Amino acid sequence: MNTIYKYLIITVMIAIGGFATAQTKADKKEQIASFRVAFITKELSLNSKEAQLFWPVYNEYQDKLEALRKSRRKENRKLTPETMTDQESELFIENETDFKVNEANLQKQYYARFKQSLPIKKVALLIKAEEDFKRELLKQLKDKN
Amino acid sequence: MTTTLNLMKINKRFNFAKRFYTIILLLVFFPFLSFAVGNDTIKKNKAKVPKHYIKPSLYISWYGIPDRTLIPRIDSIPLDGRYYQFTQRNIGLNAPLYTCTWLSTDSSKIESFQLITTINSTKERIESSILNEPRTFRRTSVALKGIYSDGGKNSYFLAIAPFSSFDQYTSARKGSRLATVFIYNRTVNEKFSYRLGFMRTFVFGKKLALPIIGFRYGRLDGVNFNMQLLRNMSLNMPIGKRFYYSIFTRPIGSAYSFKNDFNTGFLNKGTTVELRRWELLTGMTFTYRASSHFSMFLSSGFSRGYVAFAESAQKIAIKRDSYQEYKLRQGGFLNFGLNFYFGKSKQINGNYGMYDVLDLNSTYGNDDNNINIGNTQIPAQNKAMQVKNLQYNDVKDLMNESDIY
Repeated sequence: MNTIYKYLIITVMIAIGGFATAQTKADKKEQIASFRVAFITKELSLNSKEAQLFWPVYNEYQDKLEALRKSRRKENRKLTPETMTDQESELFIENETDFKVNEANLQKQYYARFKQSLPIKKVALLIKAEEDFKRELLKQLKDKN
Repeated sequence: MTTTLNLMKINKRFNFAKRFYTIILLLVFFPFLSFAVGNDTIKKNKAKVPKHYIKPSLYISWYGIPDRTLIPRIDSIPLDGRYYQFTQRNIGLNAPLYTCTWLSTDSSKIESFQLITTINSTKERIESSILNEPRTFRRTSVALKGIYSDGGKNSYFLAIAPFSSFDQYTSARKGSRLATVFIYNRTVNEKFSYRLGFMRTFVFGKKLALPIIGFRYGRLDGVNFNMQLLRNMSLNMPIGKRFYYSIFTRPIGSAYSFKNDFNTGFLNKGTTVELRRWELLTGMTFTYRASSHFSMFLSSGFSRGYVAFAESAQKIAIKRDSYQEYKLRQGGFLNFGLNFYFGKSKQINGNYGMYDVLDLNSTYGNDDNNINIGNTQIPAQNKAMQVKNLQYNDVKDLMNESDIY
């Protein structure tokens, strides 16, 4: 019985170690997402009522964008442009154009929804804020290096 | 002859081992085999969005109090040097079963309904000089929770948690009970929400139907004061992004039935004994959120409470002699636990209505015993307005060529 407990404790310790250090991508993404919330809230001067309606829809938009990007990454991982066959090259081109079309469609669909919860001027400001957010991240990356 | 038999036995064992390993190998390699067969034509990946707002989680916790002196209450038999000791080990699984989201009629809000289950198993050990030897009770509950949020200020929470408890010593006696909670939550703004509802609970050692009146002041991802009568009261403070500190007071307790096999002066052999216990804990908790997949907490403070023994539930009302209630002398307690979170969930950053839904689930949804696993799924607020250790890979998806100039 003692041996079982010993193995159980070792397993739990390994699991803790694994789970504790597995903070890489998911945590970084969470950090970026919470920075985005702080940045956009400031740039758009969202009041409480606007924030309550806006963030759930914006999060759904971000989830769908992220899913599109992930699927693109997965597709591209399978294909290496230098060694691709003709069929694979065709697929690569199709993937890339599909991604851009889907991204634009998603943006169009969700910006229409944002108009339901935000004044039109703030929706326009959101486009600028998203661009500024990317530039801010790039600046932070540049400063770090 | 014996040698032949032995050889047959060895051969049989070998065949069994061969079959066993073949099955294991097939199970391990089946996904790869099917992938290899299915990869003849290039298939496109479908973009998958996380289904649920709540991540499945596994939690393990331990609670214990050292020896406490029992002080007889009025009408109870005076006891000399009687003590009571309690430890509790707990393991539970909290998992979303179904999540449905839809746009409100004016397309401005995302309404949601979530069905969540919590399977909880508790092992409680009571050692007291009133009992002839330590008793171990096992408690298993399977809770089903439904949470509806209108995507704005209102959310409704319903939990139905049947549980069964039995004494490991005389496992024949099983007691099945039902705890329920219904709450209406209104998130007035990110800093204030209030709750109204009722609960059918055994947390005070007996079945009680109680109202719930509560409010929270302060952001759930920041410093907040949370008062949910009669369930808990706490002041919560994040320290940086990884640590949380909270000062709290909350009741814990339960009721058990077991077949008696000893005489104590007021408990007769062969009868069914009702054991009731509840404690009011006052203390502080340190929570460390190591990653989005793991957190741990350590909690300590003082507790005071009662323990009562009676021959049976029916007799309590008619025969007062069989009911003996003792006060526990105030003393320390220790509680610690680990939480593991699996998979991915939908983004909820800035969605304060959903923060309240998560808080409802962790405050009322885990077990009627009021086990608190904390709110570590609520994302930490970014006050510093920067991302630590930012790498090119973290931002490459967001960048266009024009961003560089």
